[in-house]
Amino acid sequence: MKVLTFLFLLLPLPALAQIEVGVENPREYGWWLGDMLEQRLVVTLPEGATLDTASLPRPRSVTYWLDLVEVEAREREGEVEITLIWQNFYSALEPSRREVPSSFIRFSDGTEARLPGFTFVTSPIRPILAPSTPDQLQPDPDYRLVSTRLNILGFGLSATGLMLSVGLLAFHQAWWPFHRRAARPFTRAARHIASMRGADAGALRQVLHRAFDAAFGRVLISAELGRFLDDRPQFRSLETRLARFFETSNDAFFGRGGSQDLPGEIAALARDLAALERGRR
Amino acid sequence: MRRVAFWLLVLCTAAATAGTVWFAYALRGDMVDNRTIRLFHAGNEAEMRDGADPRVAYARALFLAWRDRVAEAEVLAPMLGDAPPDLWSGFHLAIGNARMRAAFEFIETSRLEEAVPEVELAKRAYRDALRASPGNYDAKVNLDLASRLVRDMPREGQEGSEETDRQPRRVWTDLPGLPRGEP
Repeated sequence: MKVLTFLFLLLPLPALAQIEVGVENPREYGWWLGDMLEQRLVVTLPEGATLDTASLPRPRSVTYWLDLVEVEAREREGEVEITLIWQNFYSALEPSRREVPSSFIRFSDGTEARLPGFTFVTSPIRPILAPSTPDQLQPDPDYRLVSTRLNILGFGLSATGLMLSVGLLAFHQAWWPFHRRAARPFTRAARHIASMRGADAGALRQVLHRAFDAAFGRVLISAELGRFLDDRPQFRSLETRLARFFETSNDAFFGRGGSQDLPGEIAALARDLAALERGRR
Repeated sequence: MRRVAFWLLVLCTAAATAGTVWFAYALRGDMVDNRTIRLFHAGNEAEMRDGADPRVAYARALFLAWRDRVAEAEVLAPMLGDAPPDLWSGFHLAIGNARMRAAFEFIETSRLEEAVPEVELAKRAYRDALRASPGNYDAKVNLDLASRLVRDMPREGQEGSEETDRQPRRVWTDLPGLPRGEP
């Protein structure tokens, strides 16, 4: 019976022994006040257990000269990597060894592991006999201006883009200063017709015929209308109106002049041709 | 193809117009802010516009701290918002310096009991400066200087935690319904 009790006492011990803690401490010397010290620990997890994150040390002011700034735990296969970032505020009069306390973490199965502390040597910044007078105080920081470089760059780029796209649009639409573009005969004709207020249908008809001749490359007669539409399929939607226009033209120029159409109709046809020519419809 | 080109060009023009207007507005805001900062630097009071850059609030804090109006400077902290850490660090450094200047004035007139809390507040400001940016060497030197005027003392209740930060062991005898050892 006595032996059995003894065995029971021993039971929790192997569970504790399994937890290994690998430590990567910050360097031991050469620290000033305000410096951040980073300690990395790798803890092997007990079989089937996870880290109880509530047991991690919380970022706080640990003592009057030491802050725990950041605690980060990353669980991996069978182990957990803990990064502790400390900040030293010890104002040393001479190089002095300071001890960072250890802490404990708990796992989901109730076992505990000790995160070991470490020591480091912090040194004074000023000589020990340096006077503490107002003239020794470092001055206030400088004023800072807002950097305009990024906004100037953005403004320059978008303004250039605007000028470029407006220019291209004007070129494509044959607006000023590209309004005399040869490749837009119907647009020119439509504008010419629009400016010929009060002219009779015959005069308008001639202007529009000049535009057809320019677009076709030679004089376009009604018999060749089909070939013109094969060359410029974008005008196909106006086929019936074009056919009617040429028919009326033939009648006006060579026939009896019986079926005259209205000046308004010619102007509308010219406008529609101009719109199609510039891809607006 | 012609239709696609036309609408693409219209879209490009609209986007470029929006960009130009937006950047022009931002640039104008920057210029107004810089003029305000220059006014503070030259020692004039100036109005801060809504939505100004944090550097304007920073400039105003420096302006007030230099003129020993620390309380007014401290309330500007929310206006710094998401300013970069070195700006925050400079803000706390300026407040710490103002507190130190006040403390030195008390020391010169031998009012030591009023100087000590000022130095303590300055130390707190320098610590905040170092928390924001650990590489702020001016704050390091000034914290060192302030700490020599008034030494840090271990606070009550924290003495024990310096040795080990051990969590209290669970005492199983406190739990009801568990065996309490021998009968």
